[in-house]
Amino acid sequence: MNSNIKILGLNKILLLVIITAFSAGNVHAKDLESLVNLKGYWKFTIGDDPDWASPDYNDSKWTKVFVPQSWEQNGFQNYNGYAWYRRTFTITPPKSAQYVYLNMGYIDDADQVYVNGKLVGASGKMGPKSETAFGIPRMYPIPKSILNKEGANLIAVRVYDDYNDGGITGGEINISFDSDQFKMNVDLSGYWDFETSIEADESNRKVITYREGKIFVPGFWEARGYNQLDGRAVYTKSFTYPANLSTRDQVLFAGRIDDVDEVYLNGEKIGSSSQLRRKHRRFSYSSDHLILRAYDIPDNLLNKGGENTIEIMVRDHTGPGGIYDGPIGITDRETASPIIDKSLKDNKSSFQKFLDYWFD
Amino acid sequence: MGSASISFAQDLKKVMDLSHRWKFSIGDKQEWANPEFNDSDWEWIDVPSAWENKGFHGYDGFAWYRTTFSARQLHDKHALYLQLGYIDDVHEVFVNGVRIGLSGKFPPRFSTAYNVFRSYKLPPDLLQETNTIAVRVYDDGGEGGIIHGNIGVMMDVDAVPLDVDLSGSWKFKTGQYAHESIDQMESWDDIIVPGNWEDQGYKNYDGYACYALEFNLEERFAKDRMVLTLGKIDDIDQVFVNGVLVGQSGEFKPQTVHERSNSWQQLRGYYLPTNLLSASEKNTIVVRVYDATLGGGIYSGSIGLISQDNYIKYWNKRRNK
Repeated sequence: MNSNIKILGLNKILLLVIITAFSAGNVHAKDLESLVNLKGYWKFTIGDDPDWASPDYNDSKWTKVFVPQSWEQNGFQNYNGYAWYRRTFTITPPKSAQYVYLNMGYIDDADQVYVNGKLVGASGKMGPKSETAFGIPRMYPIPKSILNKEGANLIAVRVYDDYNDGGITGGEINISFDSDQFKMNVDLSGYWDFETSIEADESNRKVITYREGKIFVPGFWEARGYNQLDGRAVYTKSFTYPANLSTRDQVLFAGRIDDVDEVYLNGEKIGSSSQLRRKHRRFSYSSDHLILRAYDIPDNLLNKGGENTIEIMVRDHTGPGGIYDGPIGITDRETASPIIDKSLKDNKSSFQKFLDYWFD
Repeated sequence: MGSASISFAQDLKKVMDLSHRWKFSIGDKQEWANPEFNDSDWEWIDVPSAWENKGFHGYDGFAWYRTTFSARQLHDKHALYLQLGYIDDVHEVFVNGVRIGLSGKFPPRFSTAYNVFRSYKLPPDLLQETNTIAVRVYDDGGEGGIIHGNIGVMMDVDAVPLDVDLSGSWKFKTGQYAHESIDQMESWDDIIVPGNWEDQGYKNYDGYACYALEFNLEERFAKDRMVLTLGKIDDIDQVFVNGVLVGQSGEFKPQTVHERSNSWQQLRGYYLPTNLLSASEKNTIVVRVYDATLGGGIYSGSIGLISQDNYIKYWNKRRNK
């Protein structure tokens, strides 16, 4: 055996391991602009009391813990059960946005998040029959109308942990908006009709952004009340296409979808994730969820000044599912191209980066 | 799940040494458990040691040990355990006349526990200024008695300062549907909680079992928001208070045990809905347990009720330690 070849091979494997390690925690880079950074020390107590959701409650006697980090790492070794986190923030929301996005990272096992005393999101199920959502990044839309623009706002997070690590354990913790979303000529983020085989969880119906039969897009459906859903769902949205916009050279952005999808506009199939996979030379199903869904709209398919309907059939194999990230909307090809190019550069799978490095 | 070493899972610190000369008599009389009994004409014996080496060569059968200790210097009375090392073959332990522990099975359905190392919770209500320990031992053959080990009163440094201590004698029945006959719990077996059921007459038993306890509660606790702590349970559990489900390990299904392989090391603290406990009527706790293999049951830790306010203080203190 030639030992030089063997060593070279080993180096390649090592490199792959390194690339994989570096990219693992980073789902993809994107143009999210953080309005408020919420990483750092939060007020914390174990226990459970509905009064703790209220901005009027005085938490000055509570201890502080670092977020994101499990409460075990914060010194509460072996604690299981309920705990609450609280923190205030000030914000100047962008004028054009109706909603800002609250990212609460990964929470082990179940959570309910209150902003200014209002329930804005819930994932998993609290005790006694708990259900974990520990692998779901929590992103909840906050209606701008509940935010206090001149003064403090309060976030209170109720967490239930069944066993092992508990709390807000990792991920992005901030309030953000997606600046690419503002590049859409037709903004399609927000409520879509949602059909699937199961009902939204009872506790999610109390979330202020919950609407019967609809789902807020973007966002993993597990963080919208469908924690148990693996399989198929259909997203549908009807909208009026403005008469002053062109119906030629338009691109539909359906964000990022976990795992695969087929997209229909006015009854005609305009694309699917499997086509995109071939187009972008991706080799495995496992990175489907990283592809930005940018589908060319056939010229004159859009109904100018009239009603149009988009249907997106989504199938999720396992883990988090749904249209989980933006941008969502329609824009012209000229505006779309740099967004697509950027996503391709940023979102190559580690395997593809490895292949490009060695074989291009 | 769980191995023999789990008996040591608690962080126990010795606060009083009891390895000295104890009173000793062969024979077996129930009244010897009584603190009033006068043992002045009994023999002295070194604890720990096999009685064969202390003048009772070749003796097999029943014998009793007695000693007293003062609780005056013992603080944190909710956190105390009596540790008696290895006792050959079967024993039960009485403090001030109340049985606080049992290992193995006495004849006629004899079962040895000579290799069982246990610490028995000392119920705080039981302790007086001077306390009598009486240990009833049965030796089936070979060496007998309190043979070796670290003998003393121990303190669990992580004990929860309970408002209502519920450790001690509970009712117990094996079987998946045992909880359905809860109205006949008077006829169930007695079991000491905490403690593996294997050490208390259910050697090699794996599967479902049910623990039950009835208790009265003072009014001030019935109004508070309370937490039920059940220490550690091997492997998974489902808990009802006054008929209401208050907590369970995941789905409480045998097939989930392999994914929750360290479930047996997890501390149980279940928050009770307010107004669930009653001050005027008896309260009932039912704990269904499923054990996949090896040690089973509610086996260590603080068992009882604590107000949420005190529970929060406890965890903040424990964090800063």
